[in-house]
Amino acid sequence: MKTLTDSGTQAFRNLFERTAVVWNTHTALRQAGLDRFEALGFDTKGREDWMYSDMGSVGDGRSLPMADQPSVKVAADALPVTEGYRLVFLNGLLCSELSDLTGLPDGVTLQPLADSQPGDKLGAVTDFFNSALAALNTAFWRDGLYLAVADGVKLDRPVNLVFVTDTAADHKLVPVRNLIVAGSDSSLTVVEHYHGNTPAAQLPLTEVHCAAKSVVQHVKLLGGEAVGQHLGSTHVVQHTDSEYRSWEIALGGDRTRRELHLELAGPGASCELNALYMGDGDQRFDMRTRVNHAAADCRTVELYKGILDGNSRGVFDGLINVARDSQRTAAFQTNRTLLLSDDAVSHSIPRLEIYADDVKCSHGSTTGQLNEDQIFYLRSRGFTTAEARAHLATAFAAEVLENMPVAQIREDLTRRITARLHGGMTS
Amino acid sequence: MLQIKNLQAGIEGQTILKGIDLEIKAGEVHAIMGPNGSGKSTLSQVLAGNESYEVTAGSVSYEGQDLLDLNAEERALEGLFMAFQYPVEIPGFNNETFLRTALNAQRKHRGESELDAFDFAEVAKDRMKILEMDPELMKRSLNVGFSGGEKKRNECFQMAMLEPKLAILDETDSGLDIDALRIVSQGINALRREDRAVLLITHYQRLLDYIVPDHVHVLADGKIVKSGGKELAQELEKSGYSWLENESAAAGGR
Repeated sequence: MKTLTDSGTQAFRNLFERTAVVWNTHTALRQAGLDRFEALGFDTKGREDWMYSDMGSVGDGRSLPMADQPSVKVAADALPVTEGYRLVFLNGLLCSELSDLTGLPDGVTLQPLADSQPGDKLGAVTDFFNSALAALNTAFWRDGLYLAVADGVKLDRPVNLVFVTDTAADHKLVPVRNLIVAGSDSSLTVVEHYHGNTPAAQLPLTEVHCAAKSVVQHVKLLGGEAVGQHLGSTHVVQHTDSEYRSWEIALGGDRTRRELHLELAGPGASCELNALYMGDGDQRFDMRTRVNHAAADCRTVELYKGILDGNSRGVFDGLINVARDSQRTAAFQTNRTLLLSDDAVSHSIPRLEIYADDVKCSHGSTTGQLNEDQIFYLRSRGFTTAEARAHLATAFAAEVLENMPVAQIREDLTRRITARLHGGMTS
Repeated sequence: MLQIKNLQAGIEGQTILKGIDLEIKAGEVHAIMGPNGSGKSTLSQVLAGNESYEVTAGSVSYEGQDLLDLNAEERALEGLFMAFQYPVEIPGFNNETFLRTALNAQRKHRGESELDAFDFAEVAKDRMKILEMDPELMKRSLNVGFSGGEKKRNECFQMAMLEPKLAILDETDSGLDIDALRIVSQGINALRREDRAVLLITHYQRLLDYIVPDHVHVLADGKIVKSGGKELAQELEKSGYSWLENESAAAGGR
């Protein structure tokens, strides 16, 4: 068991003390985050939480000095061609030149978090007591999004958050913090785009407050070209009759860990959690969800799908907890993994813990290869075996993208995923 | 068009086809009838190129080529089509995209230009009418949520679009009500042409009220035990398959 005195966490304390001078905000919260991180640590062997993860250089506890700002040129190339408002962060720092917030309707605050006064909302949802990633982010974040949508306001266009890293962030930590506050009966869509062709360690955390009857759609796109680490998390609280829908699409990266912590705090709230992770080569994915049904009449529909090729490994670890008085809960958790090579490995740990007695819950996990009958059917219509396999893998992925908001992003993703799955074809 | 000589085949070491001889000429419709377990589906799977089945003896010549030398997709590109008894479902693969991609693969193989979505829809329209297909089915995932009848109609629609030289229909009539049977038959009849051939595989005679075959063969225990004209099917309808046991006992000298 690693402890506070470990060289790893000590390195983070040194980093904290060196860089603390640039922060004059949220000092107590940061300190609490660091303290908790030191207690939790990145123990990759001892703690069940990290059992299947291989954290690479971050896990080794090597010091990761925070990244500097890259050139604007690099970032401009990485900009997604997507409608909506846009905030761009380069190696974790705001780039106003590339950001575009024109036409924001009344009742919407959209600005860098470092310049904001979010009051007691910041950190209110984040469960850093149980998450080393959250604790580390709380200690080190520099900037990110602050989005607050007033009661009754429907945000007409999606908010695009673009996070770019370049060589200045090689083997460095890029901690970003986002805070989304959806007022009652409001609606909004946020898309996080992660770009970077460099071995950086992105450490983003997004907190989401969904007030009564709000509708929040949240897309997280992790680009396929990234070679670095991505250690991202989302912490959500949902009040009465609110809806939260999430899509986590991870198309690559050397090491990826995504955590989603969600609290259904008010009756009638519902969430839909979707993910697609695609690995090849030596890539590692670790997808975690923790959902707590703390109120009655709430609903969770969870669909996490993995496509693993080469020597890649994927972990799904999902827990839905139904508290004692959360009657009439409906919770459905599904993890499906498609193995495209004999060397790819999938671990699946679906879990339901139910303490209420009037519930409808199910969980399921399947891991397998492509279906031979389906392959033969397609071949009998003139598809080569390679084409048939590619079409079937694409079809497997399509279910996750089906209801994703922002048609442009959905279509672009479909194209990219199709091209990638058809890429290895010999026909 | 198709010449089968002494075809023997099986699966997992079990011999199912025990020497089939059959010749189908262009323009002809042949029906193969027989009781359950006689090897009807094995024959269609072997002809379509399912590699789970092993051919142990005999030969199959198709349009002058050794059919057994071609893999499943090559057979399809050369104009052989099998309508499946149990069409598979593929969630996430759009029915129209699937069929358009398949059609274009065949057109490309024949050196024809590919059809875009618009051209495809134009060609599809009339053929869907013949099969009384709900256009909504094209927007769904392949066979997902289709009723038994809709799946069989979709098979026939694929056949109508792909315009095969040789169509093998494996128990396409099973599970269809009278209306669906009539509609599916219309689709098959619309395909009949001088330069095409159809092999109907069926358990029941009723399909042959709608599609009149030129030749009827009775398959029993992996062999064709009797061949004749369309009247053979009617005989079978009256007498059932029980007479076969005596027949094959006599033929095999058992």
